[in-house]
Amino acid sequence: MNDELGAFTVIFTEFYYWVMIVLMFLIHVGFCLYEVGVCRPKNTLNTLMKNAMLIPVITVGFFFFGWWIYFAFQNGPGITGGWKSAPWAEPWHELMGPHMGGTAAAGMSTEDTMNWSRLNGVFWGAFLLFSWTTGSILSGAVIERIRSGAFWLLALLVGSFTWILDASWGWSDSGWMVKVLGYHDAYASGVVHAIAGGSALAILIHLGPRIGRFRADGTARIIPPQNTWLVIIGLFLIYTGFWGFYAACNIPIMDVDPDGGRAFFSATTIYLTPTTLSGVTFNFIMALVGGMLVAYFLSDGDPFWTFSGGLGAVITASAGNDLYYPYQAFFIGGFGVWCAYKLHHWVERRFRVDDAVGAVAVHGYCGTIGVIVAGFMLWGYPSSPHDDFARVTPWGQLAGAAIMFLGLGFIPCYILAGILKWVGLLRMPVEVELVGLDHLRRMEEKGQIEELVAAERQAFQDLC
Amino acid sequence: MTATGQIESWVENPLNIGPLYPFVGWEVTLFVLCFALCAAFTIWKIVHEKKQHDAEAQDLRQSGNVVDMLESAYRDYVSSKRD
Repeated sequence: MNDELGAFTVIFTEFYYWVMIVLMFLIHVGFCLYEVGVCRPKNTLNTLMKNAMLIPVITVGFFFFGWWIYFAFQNGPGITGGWKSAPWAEPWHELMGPHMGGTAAAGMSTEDTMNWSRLNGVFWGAFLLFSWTTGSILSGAVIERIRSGAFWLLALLVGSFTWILDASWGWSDSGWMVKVLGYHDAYASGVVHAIAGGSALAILIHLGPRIGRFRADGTARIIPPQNTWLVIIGLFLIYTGFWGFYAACNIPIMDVDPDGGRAFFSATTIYLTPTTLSGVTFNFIMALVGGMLVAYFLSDGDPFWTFSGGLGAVITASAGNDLYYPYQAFFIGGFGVWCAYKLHHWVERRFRVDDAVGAVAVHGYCGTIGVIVAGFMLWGYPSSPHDDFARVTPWGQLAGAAIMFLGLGFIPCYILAGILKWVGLLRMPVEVELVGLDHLRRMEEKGQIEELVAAERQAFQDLC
Repeated sequence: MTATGQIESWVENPLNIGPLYPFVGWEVTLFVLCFALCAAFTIWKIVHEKKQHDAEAQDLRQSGNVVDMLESAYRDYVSSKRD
């Protein structure tokens, strides 16, 4: 910050993330529209509020401990070292608020204080938007029967703890999974999507299907969305927000040759490995269209699956989209969607899992497949600028995918959802589910309308 | 003069300025208050929701008009599809 180039780099980065948060916010507008469109009219308000209120629930958890976890747990702890010090992320630290950066903050050097005073809030905000997304992914899968309080506890677990723990391990420049496994997941196939999909599957197993979802022979009945237009607009907005997420996965400007005696500025991934926003643009769009084509073909033009296919394809290609060639992104995306579509229907038939929006398929299966495929496609690539870190391998990625989907996704949520079910807090009573989760509110509104009409009738009679 | 913050002037050397917010030193207390409030909200929501829906389910069972309400919900559903 003391010279023009340093100040430009820091303030440009600050502004870049600040704008990205706006774009990322659109994904939540999309999730709300999407879920409300999918559910039946009798559950509309409950569906909306269940999703919307995960925002405050996850946010405070992320402020209290999530942000600190990201830095403190990068070594495991106990795998490649102990706890890492991260005073700027403690929930009572002076840098967790407006700070000029002129005087050194507690436990920090002057230079670190200067940089973090500009970057702490916008980094926190960008990561927080990922947290909300993990919660929203769960939210869609469980609509029309889960109790909101139980859902928020599960969303808090994933959004403020397990996802950020996996990001600390596998989505940071010195996480132990990057060091030991050579884990590479540039745009979060595993660290956001696989974990959220695995979590959703675990909850769905305990929660059970919506009443009437399956016939006696085990085949699934279709529950048509109440408003297909809302669903599609929601998915389009999720695409738009996804651009913001991609942008927020990059550090926009950094000297990528700091020891070479010359400055060479580039965008980097979160691992600080160089990439270009230009190349990533090719890959994002080519993966998207690959997925739309495959999903359109498989579903015979079903709008829900076609749009979800685009999303699933981007998620599949995301692990290596910093490095793929666009045709590779296209085919990998399409392959992921083909697998996820088939798996979704097989799991639905075989295990009677009622995933209302295909979240486990689009996020869980596509994300997991994407991480594994990247292990083969990027075999031997350095995972980090640090030469002593492991290189990308299929087995490193396979282990990483298992940690994401099963270790930090499925297992913690299976345990918590099991406890909630055991104490009778997970699912709505049958009668309430049948008449709709908005029943009480609708009865209240009906009373208000009747009273209003009576008053208007009286006013007219008084006039006459 | 009484002051809640540490800023004496906006034109002093910026390198002498740290926290910009008022009541510096109260961060831990504010954290405890905010944490307690959020924990209380969560507990209230879970307890309130359970009471509310259990009572609603009991009323519905006793009233015996779940089928009528299902019909009403069905009409809304069909009507929403027509839109």
